[in-house]
Amino acid sequence: MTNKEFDDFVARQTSKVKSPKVDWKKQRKEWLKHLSDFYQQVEEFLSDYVAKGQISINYGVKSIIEEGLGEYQVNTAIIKIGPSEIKLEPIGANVIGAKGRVDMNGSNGTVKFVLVDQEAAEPRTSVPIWIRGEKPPPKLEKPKRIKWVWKISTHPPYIRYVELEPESFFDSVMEVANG
Amino acid sequence: MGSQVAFSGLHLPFDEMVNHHQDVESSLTHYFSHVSHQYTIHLERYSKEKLRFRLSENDKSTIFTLLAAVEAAFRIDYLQRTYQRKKDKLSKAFRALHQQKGSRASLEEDILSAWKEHTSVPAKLIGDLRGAFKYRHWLAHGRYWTPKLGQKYDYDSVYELTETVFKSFPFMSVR
Repeated sequence: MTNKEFDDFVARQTSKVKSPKVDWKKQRKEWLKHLSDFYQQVEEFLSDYVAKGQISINYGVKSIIEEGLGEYQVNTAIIKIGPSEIKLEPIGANVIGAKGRVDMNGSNGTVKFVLVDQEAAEPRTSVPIWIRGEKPPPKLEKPKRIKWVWKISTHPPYIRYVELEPESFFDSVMEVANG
Repeated sequence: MGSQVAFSGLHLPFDEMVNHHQDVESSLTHYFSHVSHQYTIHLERYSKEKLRFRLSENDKSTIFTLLAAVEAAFRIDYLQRTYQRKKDKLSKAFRALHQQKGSRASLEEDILSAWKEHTSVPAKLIGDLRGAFKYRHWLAHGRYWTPKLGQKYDYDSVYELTETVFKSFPFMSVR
């Protein structure tokens, strides 16, 4: 038997393995937990200002319809600082390049918060694609356990992930609110 | 098999489309700023909302152009694999498809399905592409209905999708 025949055999066998069925209920639950964690982080960042009555946070509700996850409700939040209102609006879990996204909208623009691999500094825009029956690329990454964290995503064409910390969050608020 | 498609060579490189978008965005932001000559003349016509609307329209135009370029890359690859009679499974599937449908094969139903069946492309990437083309269809036909897309498509997400496509798919291009 040649290597080529064996490669074909392996490809045929692996193609027969069905993709595992996605547990959408579990995915939705996890996504809502990540959202809850996000709002908790925001509240911690702003707690001193809220305690002094300089900033208020009011929650609302919106519906999201996503493929697989179906229709569900999430919290939105309005951060009020004097005359400025900044809205935090979840976009969904089924987004390109991340496991979830929340937009911060103000009169001056939008900042994106994305749920990504803790180790990622930028999006992964290259995935190995090879034709079945041919040799896969030599250096295939093994699947690893990912810790999902919220980061701030800069806009194209230089997309980078910025750690979500009090300073970066305050910068985002000023960026979207300032005239 | 009928005659071969004559390639124009006029499809835009990814960087050019992105740079054009950036230039228009910068120009609009300047035009709507206090330093703009127009701003001082037509003060009442300018507002942040108007600027955001213009920027959003610029985003949509670029999304349309980016996705058209993605479609062109898939179609050129489909035709080249057919014409060059390669022996790999994807090329064979494309030849069979070409015998049935020629250059009128559907991108979403036929070409993307063949990629899904005969390559290791992640199902999520094919799903994202199908959704993005639904969004482009909505833009192309005047946005008069509420689209059911399954996720949000905007300039940032379509940029990321397009970059992933051009960096990942082993396309055969026009020589």
